[in-house]
Amino acid sequence: MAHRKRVCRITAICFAMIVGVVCCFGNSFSYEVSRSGEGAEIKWANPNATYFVNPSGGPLDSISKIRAAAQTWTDVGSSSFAFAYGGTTTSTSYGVNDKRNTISFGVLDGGALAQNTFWYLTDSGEILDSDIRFNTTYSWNNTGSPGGFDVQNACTHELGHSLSLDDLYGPNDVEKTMYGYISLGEIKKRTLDPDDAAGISYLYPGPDVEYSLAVHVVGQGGVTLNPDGGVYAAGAPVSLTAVAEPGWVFSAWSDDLNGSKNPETVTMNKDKDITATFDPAPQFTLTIEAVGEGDVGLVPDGGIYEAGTLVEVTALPLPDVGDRGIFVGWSGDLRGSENPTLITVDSDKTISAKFLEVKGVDGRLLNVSYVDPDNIDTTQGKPGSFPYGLMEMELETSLAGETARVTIYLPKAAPAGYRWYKYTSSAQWVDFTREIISGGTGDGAVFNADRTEITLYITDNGPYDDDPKDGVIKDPSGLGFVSPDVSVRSSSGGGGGGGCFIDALVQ
Amino acid sequence: MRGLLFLRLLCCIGICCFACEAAGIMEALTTEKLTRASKMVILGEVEDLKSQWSETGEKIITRATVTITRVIRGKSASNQLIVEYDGGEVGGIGLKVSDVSPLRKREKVLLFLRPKDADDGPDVFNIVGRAQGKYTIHENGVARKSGFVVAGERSEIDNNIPLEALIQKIRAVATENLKE
Repeated sequence: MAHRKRVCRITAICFAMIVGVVCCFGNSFSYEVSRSGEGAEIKWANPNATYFVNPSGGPLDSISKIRAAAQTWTDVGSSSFAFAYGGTTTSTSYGVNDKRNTISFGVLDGGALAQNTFWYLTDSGEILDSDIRFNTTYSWNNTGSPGGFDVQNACTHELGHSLSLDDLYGPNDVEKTMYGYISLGEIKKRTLDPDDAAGISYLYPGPDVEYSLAVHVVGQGGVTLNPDGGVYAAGAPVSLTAVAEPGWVFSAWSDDLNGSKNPETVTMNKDKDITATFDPAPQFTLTIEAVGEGDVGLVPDGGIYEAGTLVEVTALPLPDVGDRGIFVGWSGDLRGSENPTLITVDSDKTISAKFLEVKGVDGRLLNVSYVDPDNIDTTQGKPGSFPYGLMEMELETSLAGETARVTIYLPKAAPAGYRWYKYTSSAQWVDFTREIISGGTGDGAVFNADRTEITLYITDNGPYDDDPKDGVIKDPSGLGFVSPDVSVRSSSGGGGGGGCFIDALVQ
Repeated sequence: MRGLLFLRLLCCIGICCFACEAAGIMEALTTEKLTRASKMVILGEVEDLKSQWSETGEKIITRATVTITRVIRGKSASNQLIVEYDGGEVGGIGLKVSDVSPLRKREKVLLFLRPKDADDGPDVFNIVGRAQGKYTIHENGVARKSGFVVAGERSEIDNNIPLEALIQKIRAVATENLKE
């Protein structure tokens, strides 16, 4: 059966109030837990540890007092942890990771009255071994008399370290077993303060212990809990999934969970408050510019999109322009001539769609298409770039051998120096200027006075017609531009093949 | 109200600072005892920490490289020295010793030191009195130590003391020691 999921939504104001209360008065400051250098809580993997006692050197009846100290921790009802007495030992091993927890009496240097060592795994924090030694340089007793230090009193404290509880020094910690000062004849550490019990219960919760999980939200979104409920058995894993409202994105977890992993799983080892923060999704603008007689369609429409939105852009030549409008390619933040195509809006972007208008005057224009200049490998005499790409046209004349006349209307006047270039399979790249090609009377290209129109003259079955059929001129014209590093060459004639290049005059 | 919250926050921070280390129960060592037992007392900053297995392979030790900013007692031929103490983490295993207050990188400290032994070279030292021989110097100029449980009269030890006052006490003991 699928878990019913709960989405929690609480306002930012409520969140701020609750977090403030938790920081100041929450129970996280009543005990402290050791952590490894990797940040893992140090604790026993299972809620039990067997210890052995070497009473040699200690006062009479030390074993029973040490056992009483261990039993004090075991008796905490809200914790599942149990110390188990393994018996006596003659081992004097201390501080060695031999997986045998030993409590002994002996000499310690450095002025220590009693010392505790524990070994642990740095990644999981699992305790491997913990030993306690009472320094026989000092006087010990089991009566609490002021002439010495009480074994049970000190042992209860040291066993707290074996559980991974740290010392406390605050003014409110004086009565706690884990308080960081001890005195001659003191016995108050034999019994646990509620905060000491809370510490062991936090580390090793009992089976009946439940913890609550309160989720708060800042921004617009929700958090799904799996399993649902908000109250869980100690140690239970709970998965949290942050779900942002449209126009928002999940930012991070805070309070009792850090980071931005989503979904994330927490272990319920205490009451937890977790806040999910959502930020407004960044939006970007897609600016469209149509250069020439055409338009651009967007799906989805709008022009302002959430980051990462995939938008389909379609270049649409205006249908009533000339004989044929032609889309020749994209520029700006989109390249190539694929149409329609997709663009990912992950920043503010501007794209231009470039259109040209072609009109057949003498002869009938059958077809116009755009060709990527990179499709022609010949480099000899090739202009340096083709910002508008390459255009092919197919024309039909009434009679074989007739000269067709085609005019191309530019969106903007061609600057001085720009010329028609044409590729032919035999002549390679040629400057198709009519004066050069035919002395101004035959084939070639002619700009009008203001250089906004180019008229091409191409003779059926002539040297610049690539189609052998009578009356059909294939690929006869194109618009190119003069590059300073390209020498202008005259045509050598010799027939067919070719293309015309459409200059980026409107950049 | 804001002041009250600030005080609570300070208390929390204070408790956290004190409570980060397990602590053994120790005989209280006065500044005088610490000074007399020290070959050198320095003010410095922890530059680097490196934990390794001891030669016997039975325990982990940590060696801290400390840059000396001021020598308060003794002499040092170098501006850096090595401080070695028990505990640390190596190869996924950690050891904590209750009366050791580990040094932290970039920590500003006042240390009571004695040479470890001749075999380790002249610049390797142990901290006298383990956690009691290490003061952390806070930005407000207060020297504070932690990481141990004091047995006996805790008023005997100097804690939360202005650094300059602590240095004067140390120098007074050292001067007296010379006269003796």
